[in-house]
Amino acid sequence: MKKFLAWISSMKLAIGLIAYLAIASGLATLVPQGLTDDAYRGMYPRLLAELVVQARFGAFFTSILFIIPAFAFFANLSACTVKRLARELGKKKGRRHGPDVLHVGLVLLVLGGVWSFSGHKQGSVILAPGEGANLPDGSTLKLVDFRYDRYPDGRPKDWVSVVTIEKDGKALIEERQLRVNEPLRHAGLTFYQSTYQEAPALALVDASGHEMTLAQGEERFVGDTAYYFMAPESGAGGATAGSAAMGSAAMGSAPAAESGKAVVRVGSGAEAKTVRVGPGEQVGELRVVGLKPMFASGIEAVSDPGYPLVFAALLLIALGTAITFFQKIREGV
Amino acid sequence: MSANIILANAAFAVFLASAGVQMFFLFKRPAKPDAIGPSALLAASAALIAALALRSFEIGFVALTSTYESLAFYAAAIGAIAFAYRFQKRLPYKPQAVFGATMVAIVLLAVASSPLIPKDALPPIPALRSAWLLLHVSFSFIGEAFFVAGFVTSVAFLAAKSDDKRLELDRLTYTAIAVGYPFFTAGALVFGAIWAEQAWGRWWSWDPKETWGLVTWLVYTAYLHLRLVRKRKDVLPAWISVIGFLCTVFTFFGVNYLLPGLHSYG
Repeated sequence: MKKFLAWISSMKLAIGLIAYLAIASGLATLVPQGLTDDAYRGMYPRLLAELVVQARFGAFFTSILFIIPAFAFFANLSACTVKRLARELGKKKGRRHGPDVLHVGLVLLVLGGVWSFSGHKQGSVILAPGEGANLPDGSTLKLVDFRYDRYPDGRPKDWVSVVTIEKDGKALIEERQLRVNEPLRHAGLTFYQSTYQEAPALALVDASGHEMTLAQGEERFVGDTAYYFMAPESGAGGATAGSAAMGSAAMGSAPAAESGKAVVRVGSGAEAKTVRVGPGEQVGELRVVGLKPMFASGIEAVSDPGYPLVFAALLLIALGTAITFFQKIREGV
Repeated sequence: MSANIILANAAFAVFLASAGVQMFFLFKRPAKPDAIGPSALLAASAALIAALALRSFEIGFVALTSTYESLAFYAAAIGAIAFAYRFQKRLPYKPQAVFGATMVAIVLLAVASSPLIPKDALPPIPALRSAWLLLHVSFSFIGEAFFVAGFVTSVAFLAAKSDDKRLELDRLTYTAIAVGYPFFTAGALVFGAIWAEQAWGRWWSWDPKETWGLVTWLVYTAYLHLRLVRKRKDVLPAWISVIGFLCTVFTFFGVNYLLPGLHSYG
């Protein structure tokens, strides 16, 4: 037992495992992760492809090639941490606790990371302004507005969702802006602005000048007459459907012009008529303004039970490195 | 040509002039070490920081979002560290170390000024609009600038013949890495993970840039444990320091151009 404890807390083992994890992780980045076996067979020569497939190198960070050495490293790190801490506490003076804080932070980071990974739940929803999604605690996340701002050169500047969270008709969170890098945390969930969708909508105006917008597939009554926007006419250049993820450098398309024809069903039942109308034309009692791009916001909800532990561990790592740094500076490195 | 590019080009010219002056002193070997070359490095670094400040005003955000801006900041950090090393009193002064660091900064600025690197001052896309960007990028590059110093002194160590010289160079390498490591740990790993959670909802994604950042950190962790705990002062820590620097180079250039991932912002 003594021999095993000496071995598990040895520096030689630590260096060996660090070297293995560094080399293997580096090599794993050269193999695209998460592809099918057939994809690797099509990508590499036979022998190399079989090596990647059989060794599960295509899913390296969840394979035993990574998990077992990582677990061994965790055991080594934990043993070293305890050993070092005990040694420092035994000293009468000249204690250096910076590395201890750093090591404890790393141990907690591994534990928090495993907890976070195993308990991580996420789901996403696409909401148009006015729509809502039910949350597990019985409240409703409602999208009040979505804005897509661009720089003059067309690159995306900001995606902003204005949301509220309501329960039983009472606002738990009043209108809050949700942006990339500015998530909203509520009841154990974190909401992220993750994507958007752009779809054509039809703008109509009544005799009094009041404008209304119909999303594709939306029906609305004006008086007794139903107006149903079926689709933009094939080839209509006014608005184009599109979407983009926001984690990367999504460029998006330029804002669409209000042109092109729309296919609209007017009236209901046997009296319904399907017509093709363009800007300035009359449809029932309404006049067509044109097609407009309408944005829907993609919001991702994440539940991460390991959040407090991982956050605390990262703070300890930063604190441990800072204490070590200032101790070393004081001692002249 | 905009003012910030003119200023950055002037800084590049001063780096080159500094290298010339340092080379002259290296060959002449005067009794008193060269003060002009290292002082010029401080002026050049200040000019680079001023150029980045001008760009920041222009784009309305901290100018650390493009490859060009990162390279300029990296070179400025190396220049400032080389200057500080020249005028400190605690460590033995090796003019070759300052010269080596100057050459690395010159290479970085040469890459930055090449036509391959876009120089347009563009405001950032939403994914990069975060206060964490400043901490993540600046701390990582300050750490890596110290690793450059460690690399230069390690190469000198490997080339040195006398044991006394090797001991001095080993001390310099260890000091550079011991100072750079906390900056790199905080910038690349801690601030990077916190920002990733805020932006993507995940602390870690095993994205190639993250993985190579971790590989770099592991290599320098191995160096510190060998040097500090095992008290190794032979060629092994020096080689690990060289490998660590090569990892930083691959993390910056190799991953950007060869391995697409979440950090592919162009």
